[in-house]
Amino acid sequence: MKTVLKLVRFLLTRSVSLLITVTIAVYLTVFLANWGGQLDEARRNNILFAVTMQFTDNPVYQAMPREEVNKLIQARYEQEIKRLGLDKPFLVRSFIYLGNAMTLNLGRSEHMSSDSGSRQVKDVLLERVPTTLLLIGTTMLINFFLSLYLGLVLSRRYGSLMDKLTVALAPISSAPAWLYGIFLILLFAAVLKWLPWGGMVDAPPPADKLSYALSVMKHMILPTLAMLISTLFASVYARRTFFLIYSNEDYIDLARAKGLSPRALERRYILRPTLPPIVTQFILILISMWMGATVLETVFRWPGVGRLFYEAINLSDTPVIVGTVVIFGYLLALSVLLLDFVYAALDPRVRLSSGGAR
Amino acid sequence: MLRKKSLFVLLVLAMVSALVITGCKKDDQPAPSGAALGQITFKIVDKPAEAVLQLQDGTIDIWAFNITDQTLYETLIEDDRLDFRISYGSYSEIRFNHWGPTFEDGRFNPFHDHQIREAMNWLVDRKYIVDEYLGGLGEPKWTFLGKKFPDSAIRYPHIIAEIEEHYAHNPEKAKEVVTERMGALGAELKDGKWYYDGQPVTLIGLVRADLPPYPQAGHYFSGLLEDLGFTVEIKELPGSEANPIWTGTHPKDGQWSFYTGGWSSPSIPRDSAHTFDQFYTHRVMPYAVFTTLQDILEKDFPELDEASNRLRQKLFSTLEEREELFKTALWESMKMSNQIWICDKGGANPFRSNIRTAVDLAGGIGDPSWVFTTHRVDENNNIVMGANINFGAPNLILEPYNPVSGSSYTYDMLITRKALGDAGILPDPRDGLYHAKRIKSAHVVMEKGLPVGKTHDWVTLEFADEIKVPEDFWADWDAKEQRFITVGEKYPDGVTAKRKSVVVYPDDIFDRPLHDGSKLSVGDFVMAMIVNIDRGKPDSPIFDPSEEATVAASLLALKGFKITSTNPLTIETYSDTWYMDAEYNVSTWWPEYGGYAWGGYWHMIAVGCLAEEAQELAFSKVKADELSVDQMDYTKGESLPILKKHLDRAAETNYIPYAPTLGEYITEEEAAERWQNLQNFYEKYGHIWVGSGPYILKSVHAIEKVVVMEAFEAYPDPVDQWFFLLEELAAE
Repeated sequence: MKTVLKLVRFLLTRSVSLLITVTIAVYLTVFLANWGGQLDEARRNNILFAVTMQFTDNPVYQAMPREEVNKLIQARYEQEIKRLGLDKPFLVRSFIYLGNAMTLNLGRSEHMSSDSGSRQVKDVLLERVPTTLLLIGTTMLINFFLSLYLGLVLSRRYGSLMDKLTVALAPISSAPAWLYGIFLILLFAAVLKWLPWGGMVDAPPPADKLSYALSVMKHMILPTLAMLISTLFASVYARRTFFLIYSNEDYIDLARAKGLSPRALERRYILRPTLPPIVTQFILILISMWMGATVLETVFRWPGVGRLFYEAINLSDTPVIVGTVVIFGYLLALSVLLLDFVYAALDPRVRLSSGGAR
Repeated sequence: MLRKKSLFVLLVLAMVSALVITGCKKDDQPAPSGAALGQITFKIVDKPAEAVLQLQDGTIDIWAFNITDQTLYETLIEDDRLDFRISYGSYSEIRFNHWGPTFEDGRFNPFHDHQIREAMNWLVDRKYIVDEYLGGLGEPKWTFLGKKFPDSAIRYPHIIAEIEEHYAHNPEKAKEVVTERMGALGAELKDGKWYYDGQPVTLIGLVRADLPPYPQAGHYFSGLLEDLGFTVEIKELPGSEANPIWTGTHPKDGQWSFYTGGWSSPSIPRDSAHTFDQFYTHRVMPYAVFTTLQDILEKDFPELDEASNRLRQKLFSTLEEREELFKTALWESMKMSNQIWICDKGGANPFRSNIRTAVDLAGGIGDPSWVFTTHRVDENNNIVMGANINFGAPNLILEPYNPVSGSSYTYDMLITRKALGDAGILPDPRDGLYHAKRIKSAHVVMEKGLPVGKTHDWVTLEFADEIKVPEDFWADWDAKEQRFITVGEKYPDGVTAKRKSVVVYPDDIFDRPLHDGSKLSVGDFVMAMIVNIDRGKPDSPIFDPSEEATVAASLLALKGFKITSTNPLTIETYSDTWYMDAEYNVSTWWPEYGGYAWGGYWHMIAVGCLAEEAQELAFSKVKADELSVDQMDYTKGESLPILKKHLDRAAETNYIPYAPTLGEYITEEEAAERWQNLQNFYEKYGHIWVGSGPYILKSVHAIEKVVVMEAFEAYPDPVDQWFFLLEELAAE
């Protein structure tokens, strides 16, 4: 009971500190996305220009006295300024954005609509989350199990050609996935023409579900491969290193001397203690993938949250930008919280106290 | 023997005759009717290089944007699998800060002197810029008039030629003028650098980083200025950062000395007269850089001021008078040179070489040119009927699709306008002049003294001393009582108009099928007349505040209109808005909605109106925000169940919208048939966007960003009716 209470207190403390971090991050985003309020001026200018041209190009206004037309332009301009909330000072708006964002009341977008026609930022975002989860989730699962398996294999064959090759290839994980994405597109789509350039499904999309699913899988190959290239070798290298370190512990030698089979040894005495760092690394990769999704999805025209974020920046749609950051922020915070929790649960050396993890 | 010979001759003659007849028959065979293409798939291809590669391997057949990159342009030229047409929809300028002689902080601004500004015309080598920085994809230009467009190419090429000759590249002359004027203004040239009050004369160049031929041409220009002895500081910025500086700051702040920018013209301007006011006066653009031009105009360029004002208001009565005004305005604007023009930029609109498609001289591959001309040909250049093609576009499905105030993004309108809705008239992509599409004939009467001419035979033109508007014509709309207000009611003392247009529609107009199997009816025409006004009336349940000003202004000019016959359908219009081309003075009244003229038919529009009246959805973004509801989408998403609900309710009650007026034009039987047809259409296609154009909207895949259209089998027009738009326009 005492342990449970400690765990709850620990999680609450971590949640509060993460909430503060997310709040600061969201406010910084609001501030930066609007260039500290300077973007307002640019947006007002753009609106005025658009409204002026709308009236100027319309022949019904050309014969009207210009003063009257200018009054109409001013009225229409003010209507648009009000619609977009630009009639309020940026500082006031920035806290409105923040308040709404933190309570997940993401409001209405200024320009963008969800693919189903809704202008609620919540709908705009939620519609894109599944496609991002599909892409990143698939990659993470492949990465996790493949790197675990390869790490174990390599730890058994320390110094082999394959081991040396993996060590040599590990630094390629320093380059982002989208960079590999561009090369993969060039090779497999442009030159070999084996795989599609991007998008999520063939055009027109297949009518039956099975063909549709196969088409989506075909379109996932390149982005998944790009993410794997960018993460797999470092993951394998890290796991193989952890396994090697733990393989040299005294209790392993003792267990081996007692005649335990290599499989049992791996399962009971190597995998278990190496899980905390493996999970940590897994979560860190997940975080980096969330962050890298914007460019990767844009390169592959994958209709996920990342591409949505890119489109929102292009359109200066602040509510969508803020909404996306809030979703990313919460996802990151949840990832970190999960990490703390898993770490505490997996590693007996981590003890809970009133001050949190030690 | 003779008999045999005669027989042989007869046989040969018979064979020749047969061949001739067969040949003639072949030539005379009417082209099949319907849509040329079987299925069109629109998908996103957002990078030019990728577009070219996808065109090469046949993944896409057309890319709905243009190529300006030199390497890719060369690929288009060299690759037999590819073809392209050039469009000239954008143009480049260098704008000067005219404030001075000094800015507020005391810095000297040489560009306050109009002679120095004028000298920049001689300084810049426009051809060099086009060749060097645009790879030849462009045309050097000296005035804002598009080199390929009517005012420059057809009406006043002689004035343009004189200006080009006078202001031809002449750096020595530029240097001479600058040296003379700088000296006269009190500046000193020391060691090749200009000084004023002991300080170097420094110019701040605001150079666009994202708008070819800039930034390169901006650096080239600053190099020329350095050679003249100025010190130049370059700020290379994207438009989003540069625009707030040149439009958002006052010229007296001196945050920039010159700005390298550009403008675009998405359609061919038939009449550019009003544009002088936009570029050279304080009257149109609301920014300080323009509003402060008033003093300069009054002091130094009163002739330009007057000519420009008259051109905007069309205060001229003959073509000769207009030409004189143009001549004055063009020459004076060159002397004023608050901006100098550099070039019309070309863009190569690419497609596969087995595709034929019309390309608008200004707008490139776009609506409506592509709809009625795009087809695939075989190796013998014969049309392949029913071919499926893929259209690549830089973006798609950006906002909800609805036929009143839906997504107006260029690429969305490729799909939603004429391909679905058809058209009363069709602008020629080569010169912008209108062709009659669903009009049998039109008669235009203009007030005597207005310089209007006609080109095509489908319109007749005459002039009258006075054009009185008949009292029983409609002049406005009473949103409360749902009836038209007559001219007699609105103008008790009578009213005249500058033009009258009488349009006679084809005899079979009401046999035209809609996509849901209904037939076009007079109700479709009247519904469009009503809704387009009703949305701007505060008493209407579908009142939209963003429409109020436009509707009010339109009704000021529109003096009267009425359906004067339904067999054949004839609509007469009286208006004060007029254009130089008689074809433009024809008010077609084709059932179209909103500022972008989407086609729509009374029953499908009524369903949207019902949803907006119920405050569940709204046609426009502004109204949707005001009601905090979704913007209406006729093709997908959460709107559809709402629209379906109203459709079913309308079907149950056999609803006739605006019954006090439309009840005269729509019978109970027609209403019942329409609702049934729309319900069937919804069942089949899952949306309610019914058109009458050559293609039916088959499916919209929102997440995947793919739109599929298929041929409308019952489309009645000959497939090759508009193929002549693919040919070069004969020089006149």
